[in-house]
Order: sequence, then C-alpha cells, then structure tokens
Amino acid sequence: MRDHIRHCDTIVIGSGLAGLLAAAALAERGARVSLIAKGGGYLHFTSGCVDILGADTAGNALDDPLSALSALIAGNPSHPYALAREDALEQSIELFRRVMSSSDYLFAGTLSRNVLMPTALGSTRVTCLVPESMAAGDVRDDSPMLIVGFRSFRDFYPPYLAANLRRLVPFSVHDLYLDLPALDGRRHLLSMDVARCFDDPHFRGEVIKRVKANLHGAGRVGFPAVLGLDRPREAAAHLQERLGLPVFEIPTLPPSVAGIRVDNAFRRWLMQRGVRIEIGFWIEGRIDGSRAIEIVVDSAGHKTRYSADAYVLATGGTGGGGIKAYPNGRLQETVFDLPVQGPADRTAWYRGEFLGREPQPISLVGVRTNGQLQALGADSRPIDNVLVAGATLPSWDPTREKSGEGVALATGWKAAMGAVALSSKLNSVGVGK
Amino acid sequence: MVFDPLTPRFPLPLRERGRRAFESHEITLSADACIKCNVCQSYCPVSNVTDLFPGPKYVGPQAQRLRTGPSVDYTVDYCSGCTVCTRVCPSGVKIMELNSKARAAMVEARGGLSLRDRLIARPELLGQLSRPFAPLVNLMLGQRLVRLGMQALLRIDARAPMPPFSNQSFRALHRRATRLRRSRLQGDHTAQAERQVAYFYACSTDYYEPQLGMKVVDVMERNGYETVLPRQNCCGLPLISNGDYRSARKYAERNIRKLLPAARAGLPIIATSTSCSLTLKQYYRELLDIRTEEAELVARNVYDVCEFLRLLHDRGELNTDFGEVDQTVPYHAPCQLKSHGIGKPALDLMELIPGLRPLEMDAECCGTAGTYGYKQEKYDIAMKVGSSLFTQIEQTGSAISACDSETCRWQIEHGARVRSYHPIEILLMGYEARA
Amino acid sequence: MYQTEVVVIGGGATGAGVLRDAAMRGFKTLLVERGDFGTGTSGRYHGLLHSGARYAVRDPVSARECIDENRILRRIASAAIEDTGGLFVTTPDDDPSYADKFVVACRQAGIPVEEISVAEALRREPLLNPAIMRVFVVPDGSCEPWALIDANVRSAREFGGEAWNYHRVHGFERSNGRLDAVHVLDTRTGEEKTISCDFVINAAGAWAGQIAAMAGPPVHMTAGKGSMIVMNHRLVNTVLNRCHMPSDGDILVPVGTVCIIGTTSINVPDPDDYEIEPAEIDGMLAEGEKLIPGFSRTRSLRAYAGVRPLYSEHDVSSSQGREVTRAYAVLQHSSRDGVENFVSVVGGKLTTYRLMAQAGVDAMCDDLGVTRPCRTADEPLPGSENGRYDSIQRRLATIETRGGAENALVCECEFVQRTQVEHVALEKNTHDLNDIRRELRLGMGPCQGGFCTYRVGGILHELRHLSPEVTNEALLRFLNERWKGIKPVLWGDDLRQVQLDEEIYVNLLGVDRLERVRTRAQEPV
Repeated sequence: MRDHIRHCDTIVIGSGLAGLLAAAALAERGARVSLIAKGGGYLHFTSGCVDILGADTAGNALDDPLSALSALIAGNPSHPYALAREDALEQSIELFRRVMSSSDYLFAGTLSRNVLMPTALGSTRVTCLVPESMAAGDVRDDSPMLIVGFRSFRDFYPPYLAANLRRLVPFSVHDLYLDLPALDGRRHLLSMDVARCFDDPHFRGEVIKRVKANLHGAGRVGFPAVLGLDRPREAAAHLQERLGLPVFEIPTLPPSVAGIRVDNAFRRWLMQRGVRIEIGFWIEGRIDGSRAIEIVVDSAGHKTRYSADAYVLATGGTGGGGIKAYPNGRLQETVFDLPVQGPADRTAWYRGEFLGREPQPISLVGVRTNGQLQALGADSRPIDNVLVAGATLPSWDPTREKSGEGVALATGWKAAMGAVALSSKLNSVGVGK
Repeated sequence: MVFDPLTPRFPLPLRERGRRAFESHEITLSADACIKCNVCQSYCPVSNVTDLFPGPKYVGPQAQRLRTGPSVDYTVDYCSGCTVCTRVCPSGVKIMELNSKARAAMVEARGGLSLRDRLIARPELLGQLSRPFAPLVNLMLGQRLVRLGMQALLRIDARAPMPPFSNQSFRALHRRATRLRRSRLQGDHTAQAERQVAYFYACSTDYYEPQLGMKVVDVMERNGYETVLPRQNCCGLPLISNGDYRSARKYAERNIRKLLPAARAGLPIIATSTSCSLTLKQYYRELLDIRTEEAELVARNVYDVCEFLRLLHDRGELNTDFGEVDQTVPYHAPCQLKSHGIGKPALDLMELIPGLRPLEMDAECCGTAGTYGYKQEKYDIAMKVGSSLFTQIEQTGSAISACDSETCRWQIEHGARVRSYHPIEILLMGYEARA
Repeated sequence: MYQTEVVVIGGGATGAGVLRDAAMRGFKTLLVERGDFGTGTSGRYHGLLHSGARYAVRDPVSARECIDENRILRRIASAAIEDTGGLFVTTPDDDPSYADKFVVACRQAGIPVEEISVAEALRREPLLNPAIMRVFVVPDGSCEPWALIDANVRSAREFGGEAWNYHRVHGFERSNGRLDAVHVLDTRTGEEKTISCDFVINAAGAWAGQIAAMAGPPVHMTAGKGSMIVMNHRLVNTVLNRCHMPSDGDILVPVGTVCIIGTTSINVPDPDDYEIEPAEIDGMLAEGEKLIPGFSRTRSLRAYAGVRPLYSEHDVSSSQGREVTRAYAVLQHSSRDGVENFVSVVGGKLTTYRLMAQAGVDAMCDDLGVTRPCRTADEPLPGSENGRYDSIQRRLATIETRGGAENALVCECEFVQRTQVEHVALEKNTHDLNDIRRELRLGMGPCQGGFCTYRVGGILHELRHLSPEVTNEALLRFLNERWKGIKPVLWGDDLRQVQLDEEIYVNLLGVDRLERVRTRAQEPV
C-alpha cells in the first residue's frame, strides 16, 4: 500500500503567478494538471498590476517595455526574458487576459507603453498593464485628483500621499478622510474587509454622498485598492456613474485586494477545468540521473508519492521559499535539491544600500537552466523533465527591474510548452485546442 | 569557524534528544517563520465574516510571542479550527495548531470545559444515552420549544441542524449482514479468499447513519474486500476542538490500543469521516503529542475510504463496472479532507461514473466546523461562513450534492436545502445503475 | 545663558541615576545627553539584572555590589524589572569542578543560590539541553533599560531636576582650576547654549574620556565591544547562564517578547565606530546550541552591539575586555587633577547604576563640603510604587477588551495601539520614529517595521504637521536602522522577511523613487 505511486501528466509546483499561468496553459492544451504548493497567497503581496519591464540597469524608468526588452536581452543573455523569448510573453499575456476576463476583470494597457501610477506613499511606480479600476490614476494625465481614505482604515493616509504627490505633479491633489458607520468602531479592519463593503451598493451610496460634497474641482477620484472584492467592475462603474468622474484605485499594504482578485480568478478558471489544486504540504522530489522520478507530498499519516511526465518548478526563489538560505552560505533549492547559482558566502548576499536601486546579489540567485528552461543538474547537464519558471530562475530582480509579473507569465508559459512537449499523452493525441 | 547547523558538532544521542525535544515543540517553534504577510487573515473564513475573531495571524503566531503563561486572549475561542490558515501559510507556520494549543491552555487554566461544551464534545456518550430512546429523543429534538429550552439552558442554538438518532446500531446491522454473507459464500467453492479492510466507522455512522456504513460494506464487497469492524471509540476530535486535551488523550490512547491489532495485521483502516481519519492520522501526534510507535503504526495505516478506493484504481484493481448516472453533483471538499494532503479522491472516483458531472465548489469551509456551528454564539457566524457554498450549490440547480464529512453534509442540507450524500453513496448509485 | 547648580553629562543609566540622586538631595540639576536618553551603552546592553553570580568567582567585589543593588532595584524599579529568575547550568562542555567553586563564591558574596535537579530544570525550561549535569537557581532578572532611565528622569523632574536630550557637550569654560560653564549644541535646532554651573558630574560612560579631555583631566576609557543576537521569541522564561568562567555567548536573557544571547568581548578604538563580525554571530549561535540544542535553527531576529565602558588607571586597551574589572570607579578630579568641581563616574554595569550614582553624588558633596544623605534606595521610582511589573502578557489581555478604530494595532507584532503612538508622538515632541520605538517597542517584532513604519509615517505627518520630506526622511531612517540590525543575521526567515519588506517599500510604495521626486520635482519620469 505505502509503496504506491500516483501518476499524472504534469505537476506544477508553486502557486504564484508563474505556477498558475503554467497550469492554465497546460489545462488549455488538455493536460491533466495537478498544482501542488506548500502554501499560497503570493499574489497577496503584489500590486495587482502586470509589471513587464519598468527600469533599466541604472534604475531609470522606461517608456516602452517591449522595445527595451531587446536591449535587456542583449545585455543579459541569461535573463529569463532571454530564455523565454518574446512570443512567450505575448502569448502568456493573452492567456492571462482570457483568465481574468472570465471573472469579468479586465486589464488596460499595451505591452509597448508603460504607465506611471501613484503609490500609497505618494510616490510613483512604473508598470504596464493595470486593472481597469486603476487606469484613470496615471499621473501623466493632468486631470486634478481627489484622494479619498477612511479614518478607520489604518493602511492608507490621503494627506501624506497627497503631500508627497504634489511635489511631483503639475495638477492639484486634494485629500479627504471619510467617516462611515459601516467602518467606524471596527478594530481589525483589513483591506479585504473594506473591499467587501464596497461590494454592497448601499455602502457605496454612503461613500458617494460624502465624496460628492467634497470634490474640490477634482477631475478624477482616487481610493485605496478596495473597490470591491467579488464584483469590482460593478463597484467602480457605480461610483463613476454617480460621481460623474473617473475613479481609480491605489494599491496599498498587503493583503492586496487587487492581487487577491487575480488569484481568485485563476483559481476559479483552473477548478472549472478540472485542475487539481492542492495547497499546504511540503514537497520533496527525487532525481535519478537526468530525470525527476517522483515527488513526495508530506500528507497526513503516510506520505503520498506522485510521478509525472513533466514537472514545472515555480517555487518562488528565496522570497517564495523555493530556495532556502542558510547561515553557512548554503543555498538550497527546496524540492529537488538542484544546484543553485549564487554566492556561497552570506556576507556577499547584500551589498550597499537597503531599499536602493541596485539589485542585491541574493535577489539574483536561482537554479540555472538551458535555453528550454530545463533545470541543470549537478553536472550541468539538463534534467529533462524539470522546467523552471518565475523567481526560482537566476539573473533577474523583479523589484528593481519592475518585471515581476511579466517574467512570471512568460516563463510560466514557456515552461508549460516544454511540459507539453514531454507529455506522452498529449503528444500521442496531438496538442489540443 | 563557519557555523553549520546542518551538521552539528554534537554527538548523536544529544542530537537525537534535541531533535525529539524540538519535535514536540515543532508547533510553537513554527511561529518563528511568520513574516506577518497576512495571507492567513485573507483566507480565514471566520474573520472574513465577523469582527469577533481578530484572525489567525493575530491569535496565532502574533499573540504566541506574548504568551508567557496561560492564554489570556479569549478571542482565540472564535477560531473554528478549519485549518485553512495552516494550509495557505507560505511560511510553514502551523497556525491552526497554535490556536488549538492556546485554546487548550486556556481551558486547562480555567479548570475544564463549560457544561455545554462537555456535552457537545462527547457525541459518543450522547449517542449511547439517546439510542435506547431514539424515537422519543428525535421527537423532542424536533420540537421548537424543546430546542428553545436547550438554547436558553445550554446555549445550543435552536436553529442548528440536529439529525435524528438511529435506533439501530451499525455494529448490529453489520453483524447480521456478515453472518448472511458468510453463509452465502460457504456454499460457493469458486469464491476467492477475500481480502479485508478494517472500518473506522465513527460515532456518526453508528448513532446517526448506519445505512451509510452498510453502503460502505456493499462497495467494499463489490471490490473483493470484506469489511471487519475493529473495536473502537470516538476519535476524540470534538474534545480536541473544544480544548479538552486531557480527556482527548484518554480517548486517543484507548483507540490506538483497539486499532493496533488491525494495523499490525497490515489491514488498511478505512474511514468515512474525513475529520476522524485526520485525527487518527495526524492530530494524535501533532496536537496531543502522542508519539509512540504504536500510534505511528496506526496513523500510517489509516485511509480515507475514497483515498483507498482511488489507490485500488491506480493499481487497476477497482471495480469500474458503473452504469450511467445522468446527474450533476456539486461536490464540497471538507476543510479536514484538504488537510489530509491527498488531493480530492472523491472527485477522481466520481469522474469514473459515466454521465455523472461532479462539480467542485469553490468554498473554503461550510461553516459548521464540527461542534462550532451548534453553539449559540457561533451559529450565525457558521451560517455566514457557509453562505457562499450554499449559494453555489443552489445555483447548480441540482437536487443532490456530495461531501465526505457528516457534519458538513448536515450543514449543507440545512443551509442549501439540498440533499447531501457521502461520495461512497454516489459510487453505489453508479454500481446499481448497472443492474 | 542658562544657570544651574549641577550639570550631569550623559543620559544613560548612570547619568539618569545621578540626576535623580542629586535632585533628591536638593541640588538644582540639569542633565545633558547628546542623543536620546539611553542610546549609549545602556540601550545596547544585554537586558540582564545581575544577581552577581556571574562575577562571584573572579570578581567578588562586583558580585557583592550586584546582589545588593539587585535587591534594591527590585524594590524601587519593579515596573522595569521582570522577575525571571536565573539558572546556571553545567553543560558537557563545561569544567564540572567550577560548579563547586561557584557555589562557595556565591555564598561568600551573599548571593542566594540553590541547586535543583536536572528534571526540575527541564520542567521549567523544556527547551534546555537535556544533557546538562547540574543546575543552580539564582535571582537574576531582566530589565528594560529605557523604562528604567525614563523613570529616573521623571523622578528627578518631580524634585526640580531637568534633562535635555539631543544636546551635545562640545567644550567647557575654565578658570583657575574650576569649570565655570558647559557649552552644548542643540543638535535638533543648531542652537548653541552655555550653561553656567557650580559642579559637573561626568557620567558619559564609554565617552567619559572624551568629556574629561575637554575639561582637562586624562581619563583612560577603553571601549569593549559586546555583540548580541536577538532571537525572535522567548525561547526561555528564565535567564540561562553557563556555569563556567565567563566567556562569549554564555548567557541567554528573556526580555519582553524576545530573548537575547550574548555576548562577545573585543576592544575597539572608537566607541562610535564598530561593526559586528560574522565570526561573532557564528560563535554565539554555536554557544547557544550548548544551552538549547537546535538553538541556531530558531529564528535570529537581529543583532546589535554596545561598548562596555572599561576603566583602568593604566592603559589596558590591548588586553581582553573581560580581564578588566567591571567594578566602577569615582574619580574626584579635585584631588586627582586639580579641577575642583569635577567628578567622573566610570566603569560599572547597569545593575549597579544607582550605587555608582550615589558614590558620584557623595563625592560631589565631599568636594562641596556638605552632607546630604542619599535617599534613592528608599523611594520607589514613578510607576513602581505598587511593586508590580506589567508583563507582555498583560499587553495582550488589555487589547482584548478595547474596541474601536483608535485602538487598532499600528504595530501588530508588538501589539502597539494607535492611541499609544499618538500619545507618545505628541508627548515626546519628536520627529523620529526611533524615539517612539524606544518607548513602545514599535517595529521591534518579526516584521521589523515592515508594516508599522508606513502607518506611523502617515500618523506622524498629520499629527505633527510635518512636511512630507521630513516624514519620508524619518520613515527611511527608521527602516535603515532596522536594516542595520538585520544584516548580520540575514538568512532563512529573516531574509524572506526583508524581501517582503522590500516588496512593500520599493515595489508597492515606491520609496526608491522618492529621492528622484526631490531632485527632479517637475518631471514625473
């Protein structure tokens, strides 16, 4: 009984954006996918936007990410974008949009133009695709802004935001705090709680009443990113219609409602297509020569063993727990114990300024792969059936490059295509859809 | 000298002692991994519907750092123990387990459970007392005045679903059926020696749903297995959930002794309640700190019934002689099934039935969380938690649904007003459709 | 021109103790401190209220001073002292013969010591190394230095004393073998101030030599750096000591929500310039393993270092820090150096601060030819009148009962409420988040300011009508200060924490583009 191994077509390890996209691409092609992860919620820390490429190596903001990609790839041939190739980015974005729109959640923007969005601190951030509910906040437009917050919501401060933003922009920025019966007196208010209130038309009515009386000649009204959890489109539309002005959301401290919407949309889409999602268990894998032969899930009572034609390793690097950093300098890839490229001396992991513009050496560590994203083993030979995607790949820093979502999507796609090629079932039947 | 924790410099016996000491503290030490990310807070079904519960991060790893003595933070009592937090935590913090232990410490400091909780946590005792008078008890529990009285005296919510007691015991039914079957087989010289499974049927089958137990026997028989019933008692989960670890340990130790012969004989111990099987597989060790070899042996041999049948299927041994069943079946995977880490075997099995359309519902928790939803101060919370699930089930328009846990089934029938079956019953429908 | 009778230089425990003592004896006293109170050695020490047992064998004078003061402080400063008790344990790595010497020496010094069984010790402290051979109970405690210093300053104010933080002494006015006035710079405003006075007491700790030099007399101080690692949570509720000749990493002290392992001992030339070496960290983790197997696998939260104010009449800078006595010295510069109205109180440790202060003020009275008795041991400090200590557990219980958004947690890790932050921000008249941190433990938990920094920035900006630039500066300074402590232990969970905090501040909030904002104000990109 206990020596039993379950077999499936493909196993995606990791529940961040790279893993979710890979699972979606595989499911679309008729593969039987299991997505297994030791935890979830990585999207809860993100802005909910899609960063493609926002800054060059000197930290300067970029206007056109698509054309900047070629310069990036030329300068850094090991960059994940170089391995994934352009069509992977475009295809993955299209799939991403399909998944999002199935939950009635649309994104604005094109790959050839970055936008400049306000932050909860009143600074700016460069990104590319944004949910429609954020689009009107682009600071390159010169329409005057009103920033609205809630006294009981401790994760957003309109006066501070406005004071900083005013130093930056030529248009006027006013700020407004609202007191609302539905929120006052509540002590543990998280962004999600406020977002749920915004799903309620009656609550929205109260907000509209108070904002309307205090518009200060604004051309657009900004809120923290809490405009609805389950029905954001309805929430934003209602507000816009009754205020007679565009509204926009500004991402703030986690939990990120906008990130949660993306997560929920993916989960629903995958479940509807029969993808088995299993979150919450540690995984160990075994490699024999040039193949991974099984993974073992730390299930209750007795472990469960799985083997698959292909494994997508989208475990999130050091931040996601896919790579563990020990005090003796050891960097360990936590599933298959694949070799990790990076300094083996902990004093070399962080250099210079904290929160500065240079990528830190520890952010650049990862599992080396070949051009097909196949992981390289201890002898630098490829492990045929292990494909790596996302932050577990080396040579890129999502925070400094402003490229997190783009790389996750493009490499998730590429890894999925690699897994499709390896699947005996899909290849005998022919690649579907 | 570079310090390497992976190869400590200390002799093996010391390392071993340290490892064991650490293991029994693994839950409290897991709180270290918390990076305050709030993912657990976003997922918690309870804190998402009520302000009475500050959330798993708050009462778990965050409050843990301040607990220098027995818990003083009473809001931990609103944790329903649904385990979503532990599963979604990206850092590996055992949040639900921390909360459970904090509650147990609180109960210990208070000197034990309230009368209500002492009763509610002993379904086996309640069943033993009620079964001889089942028709009368059921009549009374169906009376609104009686329920209102219970609510006033014991704070058991008058609206909470209380399924009727059965006046037949499952063991008695099983005994009769086994006698009949064996005499039938005696005359058949071509019948192969049957393999056996041990069935942990749990309080719910014995006192409320003996028919479910008989269906399990039927399905096993169709797959060439005789079902034997080892001696057993209540797994003790309600006591654990309410925080009475002391009494739970007694139940656990007795159960392990009773199940040991089956485990030693290499019989798979199957269970139809995913909560009970999780308790046997994991909670005896992790929460009650019972780490004996016997306990580990029993735990390794426990299988959810669908997990076991799926295993047979993987080996090509499952009887797949199903007829067509033209039915949409919304399926809810109970929290405590998800915590097994075995995927969704019920779904995998139901997909084998031609014509059947099992639909996985997108909901973390049905709300009842065992005894939680029965309490007057928590009933409304439980119903709010489950409302999204009820709505989804209703929207499928199906007259039936499926779920592996009995309290969840009762909650679904109560909240969605749709009949709910154990997946084994659906499988039997498939087998019977052939006939 | 300001006028007072006594100027005390140095706002650590010793200085605050001198201020209180002098004020209580009726002297008009003013204390000046270059930073915030308790930001010298006092704020960077191990958190231990010594029973004296550690010094019993090698330094019996220090040991006796410690136990006497231990008793007094428990009485007068109960609100700042947690009665954790202490254990001295003989591990397999310790010389077993030391234990007997230890017991004899403790008894001789008047330190209560009791041997208990290993089983009993393991019951009290389940994570303790099960292979220990002997265990002794002593009355160690853990002490919150800022609460202690703050109480002394408040007490002094009740007796007419005054204390100025952020005032740096940069010179004296001297004439005819006297100090006539002290020149200070208000580092907040840039204003120069002169304080004329009758007497000066130098309680500047590791910087006492620098102060004395400005006044004339040579006082040779050696800065003995000691590093410590803060572990993420209270692994123990009792102070754990190795029962052996004092060495590195042999004490583990529970302080509030954390426990601190220490320490090391490396002399450094400049008390304001030192780094924590990786070898110190590795060494302490290894020593921690001997007390608690698996210690190094639990989460190290941050590391910090302080400098011991080591005094010797002779130059001992080349010797090991531990060979210099930890007893204190009072230098009457009248007889020693011909400066009539100048006393330096040097050396010592936090546990004996009150005694040092008493000796210093006694020396001043001697120089002035007056007799005024010391009463600091008799009167409890403000907040300690009822002899109670509010444990962190109490903070948890209190929060449970308070509702409302104003009681929302701003710092969730340490359970700091919004009303508390607002109160401190207004009361202390400060622009700095670190000042709030010292009072409330803001940002001292696992997330190291990840969430609370932004919140407090927003609150301060509004409450104190700050400009956004000043607020941004304060926010970044706070995060960078947290970072300095995390860097030496950056691996495992702390590394993930930092990456999450970076994700928040750089990616979500855009702090990396704030500077750009200031230099290219009109151009958004």
